[in-house]
Amino acid sequence: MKLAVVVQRYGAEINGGAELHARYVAERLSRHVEVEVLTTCARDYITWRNELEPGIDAVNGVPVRRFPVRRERDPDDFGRWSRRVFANRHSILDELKWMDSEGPRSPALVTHLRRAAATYDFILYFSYRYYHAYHGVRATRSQAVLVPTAERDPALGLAISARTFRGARALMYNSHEERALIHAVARNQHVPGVVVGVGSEIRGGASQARFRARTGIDDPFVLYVGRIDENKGCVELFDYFTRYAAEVSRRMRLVLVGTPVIEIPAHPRIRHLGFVTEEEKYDAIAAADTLVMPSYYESLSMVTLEAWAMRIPVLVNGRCDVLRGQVIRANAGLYYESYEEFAEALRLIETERGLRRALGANGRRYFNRHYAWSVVEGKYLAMLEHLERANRDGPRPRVEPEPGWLARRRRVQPPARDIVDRLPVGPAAKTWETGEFDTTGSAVSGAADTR
Amino acid sequence: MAEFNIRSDAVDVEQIMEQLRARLQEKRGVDYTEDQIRELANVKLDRFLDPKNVRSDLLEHFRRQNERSYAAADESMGVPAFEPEDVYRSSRGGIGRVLHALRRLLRPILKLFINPGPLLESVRNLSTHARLNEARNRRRAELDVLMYEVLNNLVVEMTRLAIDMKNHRMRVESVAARLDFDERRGRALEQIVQFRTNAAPSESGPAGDVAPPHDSNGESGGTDKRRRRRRRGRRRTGSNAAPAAEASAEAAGAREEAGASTPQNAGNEPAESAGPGSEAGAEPSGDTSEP
Repeated sequence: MKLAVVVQRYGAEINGGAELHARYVAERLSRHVEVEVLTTCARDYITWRNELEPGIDAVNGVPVRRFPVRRERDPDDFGRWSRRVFANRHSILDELKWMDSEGPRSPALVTHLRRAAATYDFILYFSYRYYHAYHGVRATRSQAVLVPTAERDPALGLAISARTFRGARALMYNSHEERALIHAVARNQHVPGVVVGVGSEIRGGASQARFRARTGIDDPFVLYVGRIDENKGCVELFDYFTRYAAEVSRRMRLVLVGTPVIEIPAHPRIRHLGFVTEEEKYDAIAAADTLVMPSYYESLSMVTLEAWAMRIPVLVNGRCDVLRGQVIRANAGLYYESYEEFAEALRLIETERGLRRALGANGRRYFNRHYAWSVVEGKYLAMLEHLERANRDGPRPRVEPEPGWLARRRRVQPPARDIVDRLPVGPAAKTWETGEFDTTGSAVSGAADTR
Repeated sequence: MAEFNIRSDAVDVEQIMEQLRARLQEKRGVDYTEDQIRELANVKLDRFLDPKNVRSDLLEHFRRQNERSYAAADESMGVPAFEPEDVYRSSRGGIGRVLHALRRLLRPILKLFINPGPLLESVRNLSTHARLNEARNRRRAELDVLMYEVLNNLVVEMTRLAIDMKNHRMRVESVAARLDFDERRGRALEQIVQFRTNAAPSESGPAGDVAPPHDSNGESGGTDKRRRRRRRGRRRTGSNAAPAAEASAEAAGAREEAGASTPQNAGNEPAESAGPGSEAGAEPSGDTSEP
């Protein structure tokens, strides 16, 4: 079996969520099937500037074919189109122009997909919202398997997004909440889908003693790993923690790992370690009392899974459906929706050692059951085999007709933000065990109904 | 208060969160959501905006303004709405419609030379902003009138409160002065009693016979009557005046027994607060001065 993995950026040094996800999956699946990665020459996700050489390359033993991006992103143009499609009544043509302005627009990549589709058995597309996913899925319908990595953002409410979700041959979801969200917006229950997520490889030998010796931190601490950004909920985290430090605990510290985009408050108990190596990151997780994830929007938090793999409980933002759902299903952390809940939950984790240990153990069990690489690989391979059988024996999947010239120009699409605002909220029900692998849509519907 | 009951072997996160919320609820008395807190704050604001002396319909005006503030943005304002199609339209009736159709037909030719799309989009955005700004300015002007009224009421209330505070401060100072005087008087009386217990045995025999018998009004002789008449007009009323008057009368009697005013009580005024119930309250001497 030959598999193509299509993603907007690819490289060993590229650490964006979906890109890292794609690299992990490509590298792990390359042990079972032949894998080729198709991507652009861009490295920067804001400008999409061509920084890497076009042509064939290899990253960690996986062949990579790069295609140039035709145009860099113009932020003003992108902002203008975003306003048009997110806040106003618009046409499908407007949405396509929005997608072009978002980038990375690489017609060469789509042309290659169209011409060489027959040489691949399946094509795995990452990130629904980009040019390659929309045009690629349309060009290679019967082979297109989509890993949407969708969050609750306005792009989800676009008509072209719904078409992509309905047009793919199968979907590999990151979480139950993501699946419920996509079903609600695209009504694509008929498309086979499975909640997979991504595995994580925890290197052995993480040492909290090494971390404490290196940093000199002897007190208990709560750890944040990721981009230090307002969009990730860090401003709220700083506010809550400084209040907690003043009112509740005299020892607890906040340790930050990652690149800062916003200013970190100067507080004697907040420590920023900057960008660290993988080994240092795992040492920090091993030494932490808990990992905090304050983000409002996540399709899957990989660092949360890593913390669970290392028996560390997590404290997450309860307003993020995915994180809250994961924590409830795993029984491996607490969540908060206000400062009072944050303070109570953190105090509980800080003072109740037995609880901390029990939550950590649950996290480890949950990780082993659902996010060990063997499980994730097994789900991918099972889905591909299922599709191969269905393509060979079953009826051809129905194809949604393309909108005509006039239909594309008719301004009848409602503002995308309005659609997303109307979507159901809250964590999905505990259907993990029963609705695991769904190719008919029945169990999926059940999951959506129980919300 | 709800205590956490956590068994390490069987953790249920939802149950822990319920316990945690119950605990918070007990702490706060009631578990308010953010929306409820905002609602409470609004109620307080309403009360603030609606005191007795403020114009009765002011609150209604404010509420109406608030409701209109967002709805007004979409309403047709002085600045006309602009759509990219407008540049191709004509206002010449039937000929205008023909012209419009003709221009639309020729639009692709125009696009060969320039791309009017971004230009028209920018004009449209400017038009939208202008409309929004106009709506905002109009709302602002209407709100300013109401704000001025609230501000005026606030200033009036503040002035009234400042005057009240000044009056209260003066009253407190007055009460403090009286208290100070009473304390000094009390000390003087204690010294007189001490003097009597020390001096009486040497002149009149046993201590029990030192004071002559007083009547119920504390009168003790003709001299006392004269002095009492002189000071009657300056006496104030007071609920605690009677005991003080009795004590003063006792002190006066004691001094008469002693035969003369003593140097210890020169300058003290023990009978200043004697009330109508103790009109016969006696002065120890006529040459004392009030503070």
